[in-house]
Amino acid sequence: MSREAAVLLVGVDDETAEIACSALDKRWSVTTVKNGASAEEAVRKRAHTVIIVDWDARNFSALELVKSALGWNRMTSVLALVNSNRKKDATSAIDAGAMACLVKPVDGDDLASLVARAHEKARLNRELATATHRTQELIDAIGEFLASVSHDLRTPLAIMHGYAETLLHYGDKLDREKRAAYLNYIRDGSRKLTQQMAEFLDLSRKGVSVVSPEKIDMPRLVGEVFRPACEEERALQLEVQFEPEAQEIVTDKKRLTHALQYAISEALQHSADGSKIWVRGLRNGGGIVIHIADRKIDHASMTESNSSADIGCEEAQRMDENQEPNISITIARCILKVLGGDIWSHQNGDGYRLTFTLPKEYKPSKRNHG
Amino acid sequence: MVTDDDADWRGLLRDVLSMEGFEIEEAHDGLQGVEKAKSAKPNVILLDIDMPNMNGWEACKHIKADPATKDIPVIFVSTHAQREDKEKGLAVGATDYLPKPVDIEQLVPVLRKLTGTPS
Repeated sequence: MSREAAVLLVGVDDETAEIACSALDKRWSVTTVKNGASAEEAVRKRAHTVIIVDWDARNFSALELVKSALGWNRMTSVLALVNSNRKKDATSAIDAGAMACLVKPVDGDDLASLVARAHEKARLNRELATATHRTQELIDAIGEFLASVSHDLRTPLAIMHGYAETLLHYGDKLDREKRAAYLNYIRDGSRKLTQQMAEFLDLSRKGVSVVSPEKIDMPRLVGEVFRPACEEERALQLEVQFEPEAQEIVTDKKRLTHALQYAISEALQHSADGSKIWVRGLRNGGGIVIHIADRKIDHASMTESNSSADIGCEEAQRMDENQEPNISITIARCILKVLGGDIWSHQNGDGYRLTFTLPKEYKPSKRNHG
Repeated sequence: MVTDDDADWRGLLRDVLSMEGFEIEEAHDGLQGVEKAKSAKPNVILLDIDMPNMNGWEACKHIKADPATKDIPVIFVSTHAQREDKEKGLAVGATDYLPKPVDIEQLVPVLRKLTGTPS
């Protein structure tokens, strides 16, 4: 137990104070004050885990002090010292919110034992508060995730529904090429949705147990994943630049490949025909940061535009907060977080930008090992 | 006029509504939707909500605030399907609010009524 944990004695007589100090001050920092006003002043200066108050104190109301103390800090425990012939005082103290009562004359060991319990209670309360906060964060994240999934599943489903309905109602008016295009969209769309669902299940069931780190040549992997999507499917130009220190990382190649696929599929949805997709990898502390930005090809301004894409992660995160939730980015984020990274997206009139981070070397987190 | 950032969705409505005899204008975001509303003066605007540059709510407010376009009926067509979304849509001046996916049999009569086009 740290001696930094503080105990405040309020209004106790000299004899009791001596017993208490002797029993407590080897383990805890003990302060003695005479009345409620001094107690409040002491608490304002420093948080006290335990307040010990003498119910027989004449110059202030112990009952009011208990109520006030719990108002000052909900984590504080109050112990009341009462006379053996005044059981009503003990009842009043407990009713007011005191954790326990001790009968005077006080036994030092009993007092130390109660103070230890009060500190343990405070520690558990702090853990509970942290866990509650974390739970609320997770609930918020789940809410955001469900909003994202709901919105982003409905969009392709709405189009598939529309194509199916069009085929039903106007099938005989559509030429063969159009019918094939509609059916292809339905087939590819349903395949993509099935793949996304499988990805969710994979992430939720397996967690990090299947992470298989290996050395990865990032410019090469980015090229392998992005080039077919950019150059073959959309005739977009791809330019990949990595700093030497950002070129090699150790992580799960399969998972990273999936994350890159989701990221590029989202980025390309916003890229105008004739754009250039520009990927830049930089060293960032113990990891790397990768910027993906699309630009309409304007060679005169490419250099200037590219340099403005080198925004910091905090800036990327701030801009991402204004974006609508998006299923591809959400899946990419889930995967990258498993790998110890993150991703942020930003869209404005200037184009679409993704920024993501990864550690240089994957290390399992303690939470994932629990 | 179909105002939606999803090219597939615009293409689908263009195909279907063309076959029903409508002429289609397209806008790929709210800003372009507001500009084209002024220049093309469509009979009806179908408006998505989540779009870059200017979202559907803002676009509708601009269209309804401009004397040149305020009388053009706006129909929100969106994946946002909550009751409060519809209330918000009507509050910013929309004539109707249709959640995606939209049934063609539902959409076409609404457009015919608003444009005065016989079937």
